Amino acid sequence: MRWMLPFIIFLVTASLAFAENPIDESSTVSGIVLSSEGFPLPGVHVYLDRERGTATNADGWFRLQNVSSGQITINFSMVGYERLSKTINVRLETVHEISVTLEPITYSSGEILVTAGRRAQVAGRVPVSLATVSAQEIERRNIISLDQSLRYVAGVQMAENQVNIRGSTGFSYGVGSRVLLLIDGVPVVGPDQNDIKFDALPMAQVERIEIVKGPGSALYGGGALGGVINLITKDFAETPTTTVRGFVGAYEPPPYEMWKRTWAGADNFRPYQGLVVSHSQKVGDKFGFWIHGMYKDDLGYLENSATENAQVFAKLGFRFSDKSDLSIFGGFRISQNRQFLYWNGLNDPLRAGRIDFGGSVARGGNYVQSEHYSLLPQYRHFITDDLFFTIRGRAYSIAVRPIDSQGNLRPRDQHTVGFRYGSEFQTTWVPTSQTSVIAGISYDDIFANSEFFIGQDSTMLRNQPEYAVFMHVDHDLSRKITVSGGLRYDAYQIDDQDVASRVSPKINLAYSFNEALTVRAAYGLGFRVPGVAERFVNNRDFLPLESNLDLRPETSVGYEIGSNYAVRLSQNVSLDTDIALFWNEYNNLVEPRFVPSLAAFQFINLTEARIRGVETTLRFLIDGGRHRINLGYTFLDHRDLTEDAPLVFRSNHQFVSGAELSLPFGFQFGIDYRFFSKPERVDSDFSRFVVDADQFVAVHVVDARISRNFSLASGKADLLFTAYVNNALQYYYTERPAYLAEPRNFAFSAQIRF
Amino acid sequence: MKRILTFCIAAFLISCEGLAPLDDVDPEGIIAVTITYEGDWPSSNELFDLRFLAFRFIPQNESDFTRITEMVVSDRLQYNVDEQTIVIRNIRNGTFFYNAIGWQFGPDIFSNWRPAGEYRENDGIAVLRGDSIHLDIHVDFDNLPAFPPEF
Repeated sequence: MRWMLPFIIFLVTASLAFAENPIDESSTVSGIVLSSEGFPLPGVHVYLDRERGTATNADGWFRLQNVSSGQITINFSMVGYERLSKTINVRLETVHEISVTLEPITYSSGEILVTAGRRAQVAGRVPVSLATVSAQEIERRNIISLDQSLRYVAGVQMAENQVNIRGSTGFSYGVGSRVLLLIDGVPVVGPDQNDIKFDALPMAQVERIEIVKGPGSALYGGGALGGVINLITKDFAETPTTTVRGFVGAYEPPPYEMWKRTWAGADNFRPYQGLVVSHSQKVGDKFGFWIHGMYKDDLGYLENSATENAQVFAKLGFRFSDKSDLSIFGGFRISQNRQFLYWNGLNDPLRAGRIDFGGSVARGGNYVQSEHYSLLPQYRHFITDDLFFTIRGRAYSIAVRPIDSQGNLRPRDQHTVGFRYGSEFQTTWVPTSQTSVIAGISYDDIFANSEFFIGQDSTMLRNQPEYAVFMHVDHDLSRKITVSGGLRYDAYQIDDQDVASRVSPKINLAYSFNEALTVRAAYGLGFRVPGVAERFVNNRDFLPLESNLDLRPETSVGYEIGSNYAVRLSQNVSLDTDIALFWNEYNNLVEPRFVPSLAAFQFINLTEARIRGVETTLRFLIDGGRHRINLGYTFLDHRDLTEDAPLVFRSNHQFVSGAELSLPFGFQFGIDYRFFSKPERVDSDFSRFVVDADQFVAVHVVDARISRNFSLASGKADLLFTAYVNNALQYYYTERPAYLAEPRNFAFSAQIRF
Repeated sequence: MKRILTFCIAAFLISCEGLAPLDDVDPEGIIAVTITYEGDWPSSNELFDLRFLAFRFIPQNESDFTRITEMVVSDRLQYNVDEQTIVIRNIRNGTFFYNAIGWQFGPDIFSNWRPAGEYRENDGIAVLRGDSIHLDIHVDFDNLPAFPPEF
């Protein structure tokens, strides 16, 4: 029955709220935002105050509801355009339509971000390091999986299926993410491995991705030790909008005969293709929805790496009254993956290896069907104009089903099944225009059943309930100084007797000298409770792995100072620059290690560690956004203080850059380059079993694309063609041990939006 | 200035060397081993496995038998025979400092190992491109070599 509690709370509270059904006395303001050239501007942030705002849709339209009568000021902001405020007189229960033109010039975006403080804040004044990836960037790069977009963000390093923000994570075989993934503020971390399923997300309906760099436990609890990634999904389109994008591509064969001699598949280009379809619209004033479908078939560039992935996600929005609304995000993904785990050495890296020792064979390849289901309802209710509460529910399940050599699912007792559910109640109170207070409680539970988790107690079912209470206060001491403080208490029931608990405070300060320059300082504690897989995995199918029931939570303390400066360098060039110095100390870091006495790998509380560094980003905007250049450099000084040696799998120097240029005849050209220095130290335990697993090089990757947009049917439809080359230098490297990263590949996409 | 910048970028990118095969020529050699046995064979509950092992290092403890990427491991040898000759192909170049018949005497495949016979001449063997090397190893179950090996 315990699992029903959050849902009962959710249903009862929602019902009470509906029963109130306050009288509708508000008005609506809608309109269009145009560029100075007269083109509609999508993605413009339109807001009344901290809590009430929206963004323009693909046609430049916006709609603000629940607007009080009287004189109001509406603010418009977008990267590359001057911020604009427009004051209008709103009459009772009327719909006002306005038209606004934004002038391109200043870089200072006024972009509204929500992850840093669980509320809307203007970019540049956010008191933590926070990067964003826009819907336009996602679309331009044909991104269909979250990890692809993160590869272009300064300070973020991918290790194939693990994300590492500012060195917080090394490589732990895809288990136990130190970065928390949220969808519209709701956690969606895998219940089995505590990991992020990067390809089970509706990327075509993502408005932007916000990446908080640094501990976020004071706001979001365990799992946010190294940072937070929040996917903000799109609002519903004012006019029905359908987008269809198809793409085809192929991986280039390797140039080395030695790599091809053992696998005939390496002689030819290896194709991939996919289709993304999405539709969004509002239906009257009370209801809106979007739906996203994606299918991708990828033959893979490694012998055992073909994947087939289909997913459907939808979001429904109901506005019951001016004071209450409900949104429901949900969907599923099903995929059949041939998983390539480790290679057969650097002379044969395209084939999965085998560990054949003492009559026991471990395999470096695997074939599974995996299914993910998610349901994330959110209900919001305004008690007064200054006080509202939000109830968030979450249910997230996965099933991983091995497939045998005949293509049939293996027996059920070999399947891994996980279920995470929970709910959260949050109140937001804005007593004055200078102060906001957020407080809430949450409850989550995880169940995971797998033969990989069988232990001495002979059970395969594991669970781990979590409880939390949190509070966060923002206060503007003056027009220039904002101070934020937060406190969160988390408790995790590790087993019947043992509860791990932690209080995570944070305090942030931002001082704005003027509109252009803000300096900030942050202090916070972070922690993470090891997931079910880290504690209970016990298997020798792929590598010898032993459970560790004594695993303790890992903790961190982080400090950061930084500044954000937006300046106009000339008539046509503006610059937005950010610099941050950070210092994080970690205790009881959980890392996988080979334990000779067990003759197996085990997740253990290994070490105390220190990661400090500096990060700087520069964003140039030229000709009002016709050309853009981004540069980001991160230096990491990382140390395992127990062993007095560098931490494993961390690059000291990280550099990302990108340019987006408008060419003659309507062509757009984009190019990205990223560099990661060779890790100073890699895990030699893994190479004990897997040949050449310690082979790493620096990473140099260049991606380029060229596109052309055509307007059809008098502007009612857009057709976009794009050609891509990824890893244009055909540079071979590894992001994690014994796994060759993506080689050069070419793709072409066609997208129509109407 | 533009030319210098272009040149620097081009030079930088050309100088990037990614991963490549470790050897660009056929690296494979062959080791043939003739094993002779003496003494009483262990009973079946003490004989879990028997293999020829060529180490690229000198093992110092039982867990070193798990460093299999730094070893050449033969198929399982025949039990209760007087003599056997095996051939192992596709061996990557290198020096093998310690060569022995590995005996798994217990159920734990990762730690219950010890040598039953050794090849102790010439401080090991070196396999160069295409080399075929023949070794003779004698196993006396009643007189096992010391482990860790004494050099």
